[in-house]
Amino acid sequence: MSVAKFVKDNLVLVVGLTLPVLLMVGFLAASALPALNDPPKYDFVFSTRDHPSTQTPVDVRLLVKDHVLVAQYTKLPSAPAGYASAGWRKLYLYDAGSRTVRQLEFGFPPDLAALEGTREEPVAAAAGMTLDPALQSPDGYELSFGDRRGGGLLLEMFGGSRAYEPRLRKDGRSVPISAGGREPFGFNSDIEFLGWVTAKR
Amino acid sequence: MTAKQDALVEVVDLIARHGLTIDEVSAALAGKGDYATQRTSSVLSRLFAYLGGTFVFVGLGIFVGMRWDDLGPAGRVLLTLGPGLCLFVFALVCTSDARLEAAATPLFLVAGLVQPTGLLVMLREYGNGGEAEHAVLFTSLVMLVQQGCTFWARRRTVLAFTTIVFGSIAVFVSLDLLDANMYMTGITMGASLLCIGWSLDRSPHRAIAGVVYFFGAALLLEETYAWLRREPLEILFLGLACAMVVLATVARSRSLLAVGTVALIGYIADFIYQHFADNLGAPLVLMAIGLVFIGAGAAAVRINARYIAGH
Repeated sequence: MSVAKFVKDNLVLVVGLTLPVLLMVGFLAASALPALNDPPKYDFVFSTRDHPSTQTPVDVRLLVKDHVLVAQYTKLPSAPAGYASAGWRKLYLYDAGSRTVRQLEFGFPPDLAALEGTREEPVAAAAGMTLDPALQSPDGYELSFGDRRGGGLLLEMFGGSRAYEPRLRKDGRSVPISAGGREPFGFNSDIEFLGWVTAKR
Repeated sequence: MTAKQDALVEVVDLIARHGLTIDEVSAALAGKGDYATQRTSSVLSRLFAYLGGTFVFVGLGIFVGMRWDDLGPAGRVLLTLGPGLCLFVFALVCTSDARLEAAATPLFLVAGLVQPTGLLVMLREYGNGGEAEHAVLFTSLVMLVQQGCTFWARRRTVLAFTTIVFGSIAVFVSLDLLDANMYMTGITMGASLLCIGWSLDRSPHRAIAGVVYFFGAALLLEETYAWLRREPLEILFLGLACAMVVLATVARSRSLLAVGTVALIGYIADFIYQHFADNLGAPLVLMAIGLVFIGAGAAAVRINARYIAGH
């Protein structure tokens, strides 16, 4: 049977098989058009919850003060009367140039046992960065979660978690933040945005 | 059209599609010849084949689960991918022997479940990182090629079904990786499945057309409604749901009719709650319009039978 005859006899089937292929080609073409792209230009720092194997008597909070990333350590009341630490934080840097995420070094302070009350100190791994804590980057991007709307029944049928992953969003553009599958950074609710890197010293 | 006329149309359609002769149909209707024996043995062998397949599958699952932690990577792959491939080969052998043919369908189904599991285990044990979506895409593409080629060679309905399932998974994961708009993905896949269902309905593989129609229509309508809801073009959904009911009557598909009707009822209920939440007159007017529609439909059938179909 010739191809033309097969297509003529099974036109509806051919249309059905061609539709998804056309959609794929369309999205491939759209992603390959550099002129229409406006990729994010600014790196940003974020943190997620970490659960170290040993309980720490100190709680930590990360914040940006005067464009510098600062760790705020608070001594917790000792057990059994007090509460154990809610966990530590893992620190990450999103590199806009390579569109990758890498973990920054952020361990316990050296004098953990001697710490009293609350103490603040700059995070060494982010020492060379000038951070802007504004939710929107200077080029208009914003970190958002689950903004990839649609796919209700599709996701029920085929699964998939990409619809809920963190993304950088600007108008109609939406760029996924991927760690390349090597270092999953937990649930969306765990991700805490800290600041855009506006300059590096 | 009455139920009797409906059935007659279906019977003629089936006879034409499978190339049956009047003598064969008459012999089967009279319960003569091989027909009666064939019917009883076919049901029995199929029942035992399904039960056997289930026992093998459950037994294998429990055995693998009990020994999983003690196995190395090679053992894990051999215990999942190995039986899957064996089941597939055994199913192929069954299709070439008339006495074992009834066992082929459950074996193909079980192989279609075990083989992708084995492939995913292999990628997990020997893979080098990477995203889970890539593993699922690779597995579904391998299965699509295997099931599609076997369907091409053997023309079994169960292989058409598995080919459609793995094809759909491959298309969905590919579009997801391409960051495609989920609404467009759902609508395209729904329309594609409807076209495939239409072709299946007019082929010897009609048995699975209903399932394909159901998922195609459900995907198309659900994603369209999610996209257009509370937008100025929301009314287009009503047209699409009506079109689905029309398509159901043309394709003579109960699945399409069920999905189209549920979509219509859902839309009308949502519309009334949105615009006439405190107005009791709206549902009453709707009931009156419904009765007028039913009357108009009956009149149209009578007019068609008396003045159009007879001429």
